[in-house]
Amino acid sequence: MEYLDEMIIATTQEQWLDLLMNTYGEPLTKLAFTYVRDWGKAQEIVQDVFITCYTQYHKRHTIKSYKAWIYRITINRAKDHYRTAWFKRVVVMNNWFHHKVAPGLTIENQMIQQEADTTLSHAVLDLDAKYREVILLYYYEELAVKDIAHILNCSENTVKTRLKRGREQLKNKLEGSGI
Amino acid sequence: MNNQLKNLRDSMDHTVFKEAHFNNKQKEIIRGKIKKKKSFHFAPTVVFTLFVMTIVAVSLIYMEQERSANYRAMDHDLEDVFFQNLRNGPDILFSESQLFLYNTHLEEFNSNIVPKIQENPYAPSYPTPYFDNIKVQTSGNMYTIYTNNEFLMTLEKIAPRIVQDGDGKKYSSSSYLSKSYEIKFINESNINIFAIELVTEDESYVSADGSGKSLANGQSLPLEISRDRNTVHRTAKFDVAITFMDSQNVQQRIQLNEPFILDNSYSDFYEIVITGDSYDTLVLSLKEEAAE
Repeated sequence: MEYLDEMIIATTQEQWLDLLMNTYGEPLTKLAFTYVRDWGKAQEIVQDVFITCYTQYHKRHTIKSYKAWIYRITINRAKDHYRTAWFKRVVVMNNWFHHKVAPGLTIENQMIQQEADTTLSHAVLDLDAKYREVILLYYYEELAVKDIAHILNCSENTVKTRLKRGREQLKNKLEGSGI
Repeated sequence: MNNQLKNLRDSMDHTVFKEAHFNNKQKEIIRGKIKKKKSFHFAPTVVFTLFVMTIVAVSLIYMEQERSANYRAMDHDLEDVFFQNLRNGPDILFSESQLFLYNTHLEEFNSNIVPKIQENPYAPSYPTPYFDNIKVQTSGNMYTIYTNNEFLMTLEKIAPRIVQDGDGKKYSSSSYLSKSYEIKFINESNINIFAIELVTEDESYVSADGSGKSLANGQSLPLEISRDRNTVHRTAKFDVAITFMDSQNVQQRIQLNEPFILDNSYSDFYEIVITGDSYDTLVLSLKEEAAE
């Protein structure tokens, strides 16, 4: 609500854009990445999203949930990108997983935790698209079922069903990998 | 499973999302694209405005030229010409001494003479009205049309490809009506000019008619130049050669240094005045007052 007020009060179109970019730039890049699996393309999508937002400045008073609004634009744009015939799903595994040592853990535990994180992340990204997006919006973005339904333009029951099936699919994958 | 997923944010941020960057460089790229889009946004407006201005300017020039053009109706101008009516009314075809009316109800054609009817094999319900034994008399820029020696209608030439009937209805043809245009030279110089030759890239026109008639001071000689009926309006450029009698009464031929540019190839006739005190100072100029 604070953001919303700020965004509406922002006097110029440029200030409004800056506010959106500062707030949502990085989350949207991650979100786009989960669809296209390429940071360069994810950045291109986010650029398009903010250009679209810029043209919607006149509607800023009518937007009830900025997060839902901008996530919806990004997901639609990412899906458009994903659907294009030239899109090649190239996954560069080496660049995905960098070791980050958390403080307070032994090297062995750190390695185990890192492996668990990468396996989980990999498993989530490998879910079917319709399960992946609800799992990410719910667990990663911590959005309510109602908001997810709004973003994905479907019913709350559909979101709940997909969450359930997504969890089951994920469980099977992780069990198969021994975690 | 739920417990693992509750830590999904940390897990992904430490692994697959570690490379997520949205920095100032990204912001600059976005601002640059918006700026570019904004400038492009105005481009169609600017192009459209320039287009309209150009059309207006060309139209003004065109209208000016049309006002200053001289038209003349000549025999055979209408032969095999199809005129499309520019408003409601018939299209007209002149062909083999017959005048056919197309795309019309007869009542739209103002004539006391009842036309004959020719069957239309392609559309039996729409026979073609026509008048036969068509004769055309010309005077000035007027065509007076008779059928079987009875007056049928008049057409006034108001543009190179447009005529207007007595009711003010305009008809347009796809090609120029005139098959030639006339240049009339008027000698106002002190030189006893015998002939004038105009040379274009591929044609040569000589004013002398072979009778030995000279173009002495105050006299004029016409020169008929053929015109491609499918031509477009363009500027005509002629190299000019003049044959004259010198003081010893010997025939001389000189070529003027400057080509003569006829900047209005629109009219059906032009008057060109020749001035100068000696053969090397001769100047050709279009007689402006001839224009109406």
